[in-house]
Amino acid sequence: MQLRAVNWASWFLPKQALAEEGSKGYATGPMIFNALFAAVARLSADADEALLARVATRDPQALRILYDRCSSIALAVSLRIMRSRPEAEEVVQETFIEVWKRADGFDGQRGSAAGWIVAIARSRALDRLRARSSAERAASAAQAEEAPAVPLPIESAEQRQVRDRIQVALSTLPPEQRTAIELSYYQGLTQREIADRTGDPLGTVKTRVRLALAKLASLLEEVSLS
Amino acid sequence: MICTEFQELAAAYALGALDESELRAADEHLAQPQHSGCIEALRRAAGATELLARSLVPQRPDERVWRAIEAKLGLAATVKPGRSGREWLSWAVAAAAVVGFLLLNGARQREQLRANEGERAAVEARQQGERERQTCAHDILALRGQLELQKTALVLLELPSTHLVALGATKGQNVSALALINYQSKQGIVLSGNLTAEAGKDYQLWLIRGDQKIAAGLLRGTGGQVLASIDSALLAGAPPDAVAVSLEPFGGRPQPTEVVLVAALPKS
Repeated sequence: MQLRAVNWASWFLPKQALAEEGSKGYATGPMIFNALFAAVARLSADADEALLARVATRDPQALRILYDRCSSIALAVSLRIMRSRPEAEEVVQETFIEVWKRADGFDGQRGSAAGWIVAIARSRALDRLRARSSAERAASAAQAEEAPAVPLPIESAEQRQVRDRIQVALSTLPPEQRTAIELSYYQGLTQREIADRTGDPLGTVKTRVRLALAKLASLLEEVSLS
Repeated sequence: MICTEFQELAAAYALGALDESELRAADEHLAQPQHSGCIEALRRAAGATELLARSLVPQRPDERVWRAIEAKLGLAATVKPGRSGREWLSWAVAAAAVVGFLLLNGARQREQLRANEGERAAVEARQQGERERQTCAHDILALRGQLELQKTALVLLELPSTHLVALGATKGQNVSALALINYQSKQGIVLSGNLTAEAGKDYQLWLIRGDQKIAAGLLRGTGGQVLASIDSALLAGAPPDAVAVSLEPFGGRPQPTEVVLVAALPKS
């Protein structure tokens, strides 16, 4: 990547017409990437919301496009929770049926359209997980450990770049904070259940959850994913 | 629960990590009409939670998953092509039949006229529905176009031979834009997060080569977020000297009038 300075006097505009702030700044790598991701991610979020609005008016083509955009991440979350691809795909199926039925209930003030869809998938996957017997859970976990690599992933350049950054941010969290949010997100444990499992005081767990999410939220602001 | 208490719990709420009693109290609080930062805190926490999902490698579901969704929702029948046209035709035939019947039955003319008006209204409603469907399809296509441009922009970003050029604002302008130019692949994208043209105006992109100011398209989008691609033919041959954006009457002009952003381009 070659960065080009903007210090250039236009030949077709009078020199004095160039604003000082516009002509002296040099773009830095992170600044440029953040600005770019901000613009691209905002457009992407707007697109998801617009599609969801169309789904609410019973537009099947909009549902298909939304499915193309969000089903892969919904499946990734369900698969991580269920550890069973057939079941995870059933969850995705149920999720988009629910999206079709409940699209008019989406509140854009509380989060993104993609986040809302993923939350439905996660909730359904966790419901199924809780319904399993402990023997089934153990069998599933063992199967997951023995299973070879998951089927070929698909990922756009945008998704890959964002994912890399998030993984870096997650890796910088203290292990106990990361464990707390992962136990909650992927296993559906409440803060009290996490405290019971880890043996840590409830107040400590609450602080860990809050700090971990705050750090991720900072990253979110950096790349304007919301 | 008061707003500051909810905000303390927002992270756990978004994660789904609250106990039943805490969850009930938080939901009751959110149902209240007025808040001081609660919705923002929730949105921030929800966004952070979404990052956990985006840290995973996405997996494409088997195509049968979509087919099952379509079957369960009966969508295949809904989007059957040509259906609206046939319906329109049948309504038109019905309306014509009503008119013919009125001519042959003068005694019942008044009643039939009322019926005819009803039919006509129904036909118009159908036509309106068809127009809305076409508008919707057009919007979806436009969205797809924007998404393709986003993807192209990110692909360009990854290429080491891509030049990233920040456009500088002219005096009095508080706008910015970035240009991604790759001479090898003859691809160029210009994007901005704060260009909102007032009604009746458009932002127009220009490439400058020697004395020529070449119109390179309009920058359009929503909410100030705009993207435009540069025609590959314009990047063939000698590299342009500069790129500029001007504010013009709607639809653009053959020559720039009010330049708001400008930057020199690299020579290779």
